[in-house]
Amino acid sequence: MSFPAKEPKSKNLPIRAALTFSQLYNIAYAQITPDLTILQASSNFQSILLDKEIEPEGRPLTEVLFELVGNETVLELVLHGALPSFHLELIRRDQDDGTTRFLTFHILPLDEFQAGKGLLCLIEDATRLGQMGQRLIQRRNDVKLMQEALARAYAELERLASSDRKTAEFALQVANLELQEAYDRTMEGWVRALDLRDREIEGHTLRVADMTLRLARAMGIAESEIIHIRRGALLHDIGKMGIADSILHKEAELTEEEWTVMKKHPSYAYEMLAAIPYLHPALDIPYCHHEKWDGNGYPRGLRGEQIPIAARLFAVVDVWDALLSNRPYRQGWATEEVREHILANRGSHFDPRVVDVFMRVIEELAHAQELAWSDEVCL
Amino acid sequence: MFTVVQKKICLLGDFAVGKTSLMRRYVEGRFDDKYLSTIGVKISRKTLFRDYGQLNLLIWDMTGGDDIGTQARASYLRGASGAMVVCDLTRRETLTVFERYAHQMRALNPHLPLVLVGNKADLIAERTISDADMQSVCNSLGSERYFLTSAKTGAEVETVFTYLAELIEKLE
Repeated sequence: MSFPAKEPKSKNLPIRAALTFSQLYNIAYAQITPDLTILQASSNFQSILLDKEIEPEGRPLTEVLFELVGNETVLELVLHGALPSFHLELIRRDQDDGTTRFLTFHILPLDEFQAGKGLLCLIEDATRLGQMGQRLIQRRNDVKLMQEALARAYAELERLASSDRKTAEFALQVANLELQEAYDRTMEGWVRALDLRDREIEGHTLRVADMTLRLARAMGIAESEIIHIRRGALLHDIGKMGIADSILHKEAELTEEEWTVMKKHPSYAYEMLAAIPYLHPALDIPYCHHEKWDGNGYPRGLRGEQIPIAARLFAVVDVWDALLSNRPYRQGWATEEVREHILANRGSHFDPRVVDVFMRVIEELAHAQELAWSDEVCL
Repeated sequence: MFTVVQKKICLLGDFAVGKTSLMRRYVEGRFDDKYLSTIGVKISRKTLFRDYGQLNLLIWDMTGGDDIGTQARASYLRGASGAMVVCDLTRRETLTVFERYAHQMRALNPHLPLVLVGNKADLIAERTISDADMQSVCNSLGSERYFLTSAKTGAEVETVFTYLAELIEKLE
């Protein structure tokens, strides 16, 4: 024990506190004399701290009394019986020799039956308990620090994983776009090959694809469907790849047998394209654009809304463009004639609602062209 | 007349924010990388020489992480003339305890000089508590300013203790 028993050095010390240290097993005590009020003790504590003369051997009193500084109010409550006792637990003391000691202070009234008699300060050496407590706290804090570090590491991993996922998603999107681009280029290659073979329809494919898209948008078709309609329009006559040149390039009227062969081109288109999942949504136009609203079309004789909407749109546009164009065996029709033809077949060949919208579209186009022309004249 | 004034100041904050290191740097002028939890309270004295005599700062370094509302902790805080609340700028988790301690200290004594300290400012790359976070706590407490310290390099350590000592002296 580091607080050896020591008698007060002198009754004439310049302080009125007579402090007694005694050793009782591992407990030392300091007695604050009865004639000392705590407020006086407060100022005297400072004196004690400065007065080297009264320090007990080997251990400055300052170390014992530091802990009581700032607690005068509580000490006064104990002195006057308002509090039964006051404890300061596990006060850490680093020794000069590098070791650490832990103390527990118990402040009790000197006389349990008479308040104001003084205080007894029991100082318990709690080093073992303190060391045990320190180890426990150290472990707890180590675990908490580890948990915090793990939480940070997990958050970082999550961030990295999310970043990797986004990178992968982006790469997938790029790959998908590249694949679509490759498909579209392949498809356009087919269309060019078909145009080269069937010279009479040169430019027809791109014109009808463009017009069909205008009509589809005017009909309120969803944008997600538009791309399939475009592909279908571009490939509408792909089935003609399966028709012999003798029939396809024949300048005279086709015989009935030849027509039978010619009418197979939608089915050929279906057979060609059905094996390509990417083009499934675009099949409606190549397969059904010769169907008629009244059921007299081919190849399956569908009627009304049995015919996919894309094919109903395209049917109007295809006839419109074909009649306006010159052919080796006839001149192209005048716009008004074609218009009348389309209107005449409203409800028989064509979907009436589609014809109505188509008429509005071509009027708007004509109006726009007139405006463009008048602008040119003004310039 | 030579006057000696003794003032108790308390260091508060979550565990491992560097309270003991700040005290050691200020009192002993050294830094130790090894982390050893403080248990109970560790009291150190720093003497400042003034025109009127001497100011002894009794710096109470308390166990971090426990609630200061407990009876034992409240008794440690009683009689304090000032307090320093510390957080670890590299551990955002310590901001919660930092705010709680600061508000609890304010509740215990609304006029107590209180300084807010973000420690480990030297670990710039690992910093997770921003100036805005510190300012926000300052504003909520009506405090004038906060300090960014490093017990490791000694940056601003002397400044913050001196600032607190001056705040305490102004109240005398």
